[in-house]
Amino acid sequence: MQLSSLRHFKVSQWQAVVLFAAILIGLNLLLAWTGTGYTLTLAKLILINVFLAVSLTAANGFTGLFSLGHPAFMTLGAYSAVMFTYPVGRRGFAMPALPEFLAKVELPLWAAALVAAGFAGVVAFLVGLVVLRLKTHYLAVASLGLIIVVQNLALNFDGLTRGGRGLTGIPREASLPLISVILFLVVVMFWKIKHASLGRAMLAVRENEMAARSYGIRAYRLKLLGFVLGAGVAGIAGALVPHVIAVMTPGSFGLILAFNLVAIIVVGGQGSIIGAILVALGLGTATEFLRPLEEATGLYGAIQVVVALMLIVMLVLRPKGLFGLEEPMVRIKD
Amino acid sequence: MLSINNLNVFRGKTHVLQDVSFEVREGEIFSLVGSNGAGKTTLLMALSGIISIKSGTAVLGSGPDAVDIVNSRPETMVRAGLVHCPEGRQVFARMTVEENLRLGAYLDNNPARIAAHMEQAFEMFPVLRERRATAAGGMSGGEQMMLALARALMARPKILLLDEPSLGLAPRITEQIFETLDDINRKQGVTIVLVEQNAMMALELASRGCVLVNGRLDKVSDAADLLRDPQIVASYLGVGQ
Amino acid sequence: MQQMLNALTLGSLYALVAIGFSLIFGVIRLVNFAHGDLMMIGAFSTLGLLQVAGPLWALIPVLVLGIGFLTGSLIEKVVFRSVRNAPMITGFVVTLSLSVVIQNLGQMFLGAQPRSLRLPEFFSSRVEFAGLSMPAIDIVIPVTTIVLAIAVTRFVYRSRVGAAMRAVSENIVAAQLMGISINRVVMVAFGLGSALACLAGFFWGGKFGQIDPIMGLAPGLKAFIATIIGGVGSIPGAILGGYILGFAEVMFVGFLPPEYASFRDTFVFGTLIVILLIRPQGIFGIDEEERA
Repeated sequence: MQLSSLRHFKVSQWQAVVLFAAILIGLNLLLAWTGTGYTLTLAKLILINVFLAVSLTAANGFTGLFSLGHPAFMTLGAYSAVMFTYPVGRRGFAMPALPEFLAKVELPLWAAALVAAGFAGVVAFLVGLVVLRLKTHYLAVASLGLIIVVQNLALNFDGLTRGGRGLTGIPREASLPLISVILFLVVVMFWKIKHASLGRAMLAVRENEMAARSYGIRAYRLKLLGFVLGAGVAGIAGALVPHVIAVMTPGSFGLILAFNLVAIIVVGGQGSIIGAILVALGLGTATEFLRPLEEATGLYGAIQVVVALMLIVMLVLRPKGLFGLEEPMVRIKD
Repeated sequence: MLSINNLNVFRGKTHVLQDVSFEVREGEIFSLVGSNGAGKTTLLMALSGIISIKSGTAVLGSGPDAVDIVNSRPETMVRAGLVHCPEGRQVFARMTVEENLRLGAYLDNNPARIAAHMEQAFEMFPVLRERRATAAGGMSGGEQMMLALARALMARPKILLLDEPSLGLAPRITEQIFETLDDINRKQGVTIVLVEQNAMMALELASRGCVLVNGRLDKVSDAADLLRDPQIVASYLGVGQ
Repeated sequence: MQQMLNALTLGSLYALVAIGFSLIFGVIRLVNFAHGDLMMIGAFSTLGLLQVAGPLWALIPVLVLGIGFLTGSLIEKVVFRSVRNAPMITGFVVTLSLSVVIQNLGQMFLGAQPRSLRLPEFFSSRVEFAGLSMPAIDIVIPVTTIVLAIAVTRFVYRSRVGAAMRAVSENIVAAQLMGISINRVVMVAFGLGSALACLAGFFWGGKFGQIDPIMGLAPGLKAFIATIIGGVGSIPGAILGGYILGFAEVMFVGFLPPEYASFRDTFVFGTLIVILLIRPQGIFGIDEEERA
């Protein structure tokens, strides 16, 4: 099947932006009208997953890195945000180690999310300085290690995080409109980056780092930039999730999530934003549909197995993913 | 001995060899001349089974024992008596001279015969005997070439494909190598297909040859004729003097 | 002193798994993320075999080695062979996916709850050595590991197939031109490495008494770290790395105040980062850029 033969819709930038916004607004209206608690939560989580996937596309796909560390940044973002949105009255009880001046501050979610992004971004910068010099599989293992280390730290600094008991009763402030707006901004931001000279430089690094360097492209800086941006957005995603499900534990974002994200990126094509969106949507909805099956048969983990098997098959048949670097079906006129 | 017809070979999407046809007769030295990028190395790699052949036929030998190169793996080609000594020598740098030689005889399971062949290799190239326990990577270019040759001969090939043996070697050493090649061909009857930058020396050594231009075979004839051909003199014989 | 023994045992287990990593990486430059899961396969095979072996329990380790060899070869042929020439990331993701499949299938069919594994009396019988009393298994593990390590090293450095493996590791095209069958060499590397990992599972289950479907993940990662410390692609390096890591881990937990014990994994990974920065090729490592 030649995917490049799918019809390409030529749209102008404005048309695309409006279309995208319209879809999101439509979704919001639909769910406001007919949505149940369940579908609303589902939509929120799926949308978060979507921009999470897009952020991984930017962090990994653009420059050709392979980092599994996204969940670690989510965890960092989550705890740093919850620290500011947790009801002040209960903070002393749940987070006894929180210093006075912080314990009094209460922020709305969008502000807390920015804090989360900043925190995750800074950590990513520091970590990136160290690990981005490593070669592919070393980086993969080191980033895996990051997940474990962050989980470890979250578990141990229980004065701030309540350790393994986790934090409950987190205010469900994450509204669908808020998430939609964030999704919109994230996608537009990364799309613009990708199609600007910055993005082209990053893709050049991915295709052939040595050649790119010889053109004067500062490969290392670009990798770091992609990494930090991706981590920042992951931090936002991490900040939002606990405000949807009201719970946060150190193990909330772990290896399974890392794997699924990688699966989405690989299947969607490592550089394709639309690919990531489509696959993330597909995976999210399919998983929900199949969940009753899992519960009926008692075969927990079956969905995961199917995802993993599909990934293997995909990689064997189409090593570049479904869409590779291209953006399928939509070409935006410059 | 080698019969090649309308060979087409691709590397990725590039059509490197186009409808190449020629013959190599048993016992002769056949020289392949051409500029860089013409496809000489690709041709040798296709013949030794490393690169796959898109279309055409290539047959080693004749009659019932003939080997179809197109569908053969590298192991099969070595077993059939075709050994390719690749560009750049490609000795196993981290292994000793002796280990390299042993690997040349990988498909041989007779230890006595391997030992005998190794003795003969040391006779032919005494410097290898001196260096038998040294890591191959520590030797000079000329020594490595001798090792590569000796290693190729350990399999007692019927036909030897040589890719740029003189590359990077001083003229004196190159002469020695070429003398050895002549020796191997005359005394042991090994057919040789020689790809060489140093077209002059190659065509002087060879009995027949051909010219490869951008993946196509241009001329096939006796080496003596090629040496006199004004076009060839102009294009290739200024090189390597 | 007990600490030393624990370090020795743990180090041996890491070494056994690390050898496999190095063998596989050396031959096909693949970081096999699913390697640790072979330990789990070995452990559960042991569980199964114990129920039928009865008095012939001495055969179990041998059978486990065999199971490991076959499973490894099978996995290579069915899953990894097709991505052998793909970029490294593809291979890595495939091994990652395989690991997810194995672990989840394990959880689905073997149950997520840990099971207990008890080796026959022999292994827990007390032995007197150097004035100490210890369970026999504490001696069996290091001794078996050292013996196997020596055997594998001799195989790789002195045998014909071993030479072929080293040739493939160094220069795959030149190796092919010698008539070496890459498929066979890779299969042997996989089989051998997997056999050792499975045996490590046998020992791990015997030593720690508890096994579960995801038991391979953490030791697998740590064994990979051990491989890196010792130098990826080097057998002696893997062995040394395994022991270094085992000792480091036990010493860390043993000598620091108990509050820090749970930082053990952080410590291990921190060490990894440091090593990767200072000397990424490890102690004996080959520089992979060199491979032709």
